[in-house]
Amino acid sequence: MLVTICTIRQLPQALALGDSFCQSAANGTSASVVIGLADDPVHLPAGFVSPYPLVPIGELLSTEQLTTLSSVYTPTEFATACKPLFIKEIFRRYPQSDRLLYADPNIQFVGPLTPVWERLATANTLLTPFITRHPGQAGAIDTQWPDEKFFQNVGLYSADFLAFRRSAETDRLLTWWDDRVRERAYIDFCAGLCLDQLWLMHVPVFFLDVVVVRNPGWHVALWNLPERTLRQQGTNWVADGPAGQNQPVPFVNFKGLLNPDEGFFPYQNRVRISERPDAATLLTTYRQALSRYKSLLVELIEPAYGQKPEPVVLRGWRHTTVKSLRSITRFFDQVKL
Amino acid sequence: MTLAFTICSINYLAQARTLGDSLRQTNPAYQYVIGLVDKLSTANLPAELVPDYPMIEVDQIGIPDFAAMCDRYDITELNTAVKPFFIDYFYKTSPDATEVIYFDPDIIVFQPLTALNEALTNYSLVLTPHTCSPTPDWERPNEQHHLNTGIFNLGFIGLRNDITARQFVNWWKDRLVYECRIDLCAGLFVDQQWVNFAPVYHDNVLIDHHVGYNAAYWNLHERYFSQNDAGEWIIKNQKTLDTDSGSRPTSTESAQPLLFFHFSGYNPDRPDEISKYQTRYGFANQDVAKAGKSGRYVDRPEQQRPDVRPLFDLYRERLLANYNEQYRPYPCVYIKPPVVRRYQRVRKLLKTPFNRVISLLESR
Repeated sequence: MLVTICTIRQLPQALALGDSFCQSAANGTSASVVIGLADDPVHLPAGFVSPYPLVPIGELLSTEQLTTLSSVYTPTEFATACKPLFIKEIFRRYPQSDRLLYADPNIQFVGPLTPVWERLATANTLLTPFITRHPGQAGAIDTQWPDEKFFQNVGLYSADFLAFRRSAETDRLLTWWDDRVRERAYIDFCAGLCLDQLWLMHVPVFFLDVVVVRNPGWHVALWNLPERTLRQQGTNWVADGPAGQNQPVPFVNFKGLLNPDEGFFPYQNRVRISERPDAATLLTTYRQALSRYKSLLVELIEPAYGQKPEPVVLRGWRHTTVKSLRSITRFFDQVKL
Repeated sequence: MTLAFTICSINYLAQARTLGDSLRQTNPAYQYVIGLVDKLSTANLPAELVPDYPMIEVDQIGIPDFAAMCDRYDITELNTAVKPFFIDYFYKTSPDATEVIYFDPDIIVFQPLTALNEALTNYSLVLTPHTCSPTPDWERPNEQHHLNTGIFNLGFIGLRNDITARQFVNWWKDRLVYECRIDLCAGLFVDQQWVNFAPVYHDNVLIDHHVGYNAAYWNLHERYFSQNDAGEWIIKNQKTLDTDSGSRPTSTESAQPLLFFHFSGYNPDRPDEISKYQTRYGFANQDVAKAGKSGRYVDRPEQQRPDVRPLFDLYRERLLANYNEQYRPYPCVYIKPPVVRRYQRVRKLLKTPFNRVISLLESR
């Protein structure tokens, strides 16, 4: 089964994700999709009927808990603080499903999921790294961004895609993760915190049968395009990358591609989408998939939970100016007086 | 041949000798070398302080622009930054060294490392996590600290001399030339945090969960110590009644031999403290508390670890026998006066107008 978590504003993406999962999962397996709503269903568009079951966060947390979490987090932090809880609860509510995929609403399944199910036959948990090799040239100073240090800040494994097999070990993992993340989902690099994601660094060490999938076909996304090339083979996509050649692409993450302000890398300068026709083709198809849900008109609905403001993404002269000003203040901090 | 090495300055040679002695006793086939971040010609050690182990001075291993590196780094950063350069040096100068193992100087090896030797025939790298299981509380160090400073403890790394390991070492060297600093906000913690990438960039990395490896203050919560009839140290993951009462454990369930213990942050002049870096445990037991003696956590039995006390006492004894007192006063030639940023208020004042403009531009 597939679980995603979204706010009302992200519903078109979550629904398109669900559709793509049903197409890709096929093979006779019943494809169930559940959407965790990190938002207040009161704000849903009038007359909206979801094709997939919606589980609002209000069913899992008391009003008091919601108010507390909402007051300390941004909407992004709030949604991730609830992620392990959603996964745990949905796994419990669907006892007939033994395999659960979590995918961010920005993800689309674009090919058969067979490789994922195969890996899950022996593994308890699957993780995908952001990058699988050094992004610069060996021996040269790398001036592009994001650099490896930034990945250390946000975590080396993406929390946008996770796969779990039902087991006592998975229960143990989800209970631990929920315990850590609920109150420690802040983005605060200096304190060693970054959403639900940085915590995943412990997962391959603390839990059994966790597999880190380095396959270049998996989790194709903005941040790993520089190390991968994609091409169409019939109706499917295949990828080449540092850890393999000609690998089928089961899913793609459009975070930061669809909306450059979203995600961890709004200032990335390693990829220009205009120079990547492969990614551009995938993005066009994705936009078409989303257009089905345009009529929902939810873009302007503010998330109900997460009272702290999201950090502002600056563009153009504002960004350049702030960068220069910061280098001046850094100079004042470090200059020997 | 397996080459085992450590890195230290002269003031830590008692530790390096203690490690060497333990390796000679338990793993006599290893060739042990001390990488010295110091100059013997300056120290001019008397005969009894010259260790019976080969020493290689850091300025002799061909680190490009080593002087600039010394300039950039403080002593902790420098001592850790040279690690992959030493490994690379051994790869190049000792081609018969098919495996290279690094140990921090403040380690004692207690057993033959048979399983490690075996692992290094199958894997390119062997790493040990700080802790194999969640930490029980938010005392120091806890899981969140490890997120900032590194999942694996780099007081130990085992490497085979193969293409993957050499690729890793070259990449690690490149990183440490400029970025072996402690700057948690920028994702940096000396050489250690970088090694999080090892299992992400390479397939052939073993994360060894054996609790006998790299036992230290950061994993005491999952490791309880006792000695068997033969006097060997064994580890259990549960505190058991019989070890509590001081008698020998009767059950061997989940017991593992202690392979090496890392006495990080221990000071033999403060024999009542486990480590200056931790707040979770003290040695004291209830008898001490009843006797009205002082010590960390005398009032909290769950935070007392009398089981590890004999290990630390043993370490103290060995350090003293290895001339710890005599080595301590030698100043490292690479040490620099600490950088003090003075005039904080002036700096703040100068920054104010710039910070105002930044927050204006960042407001919606």
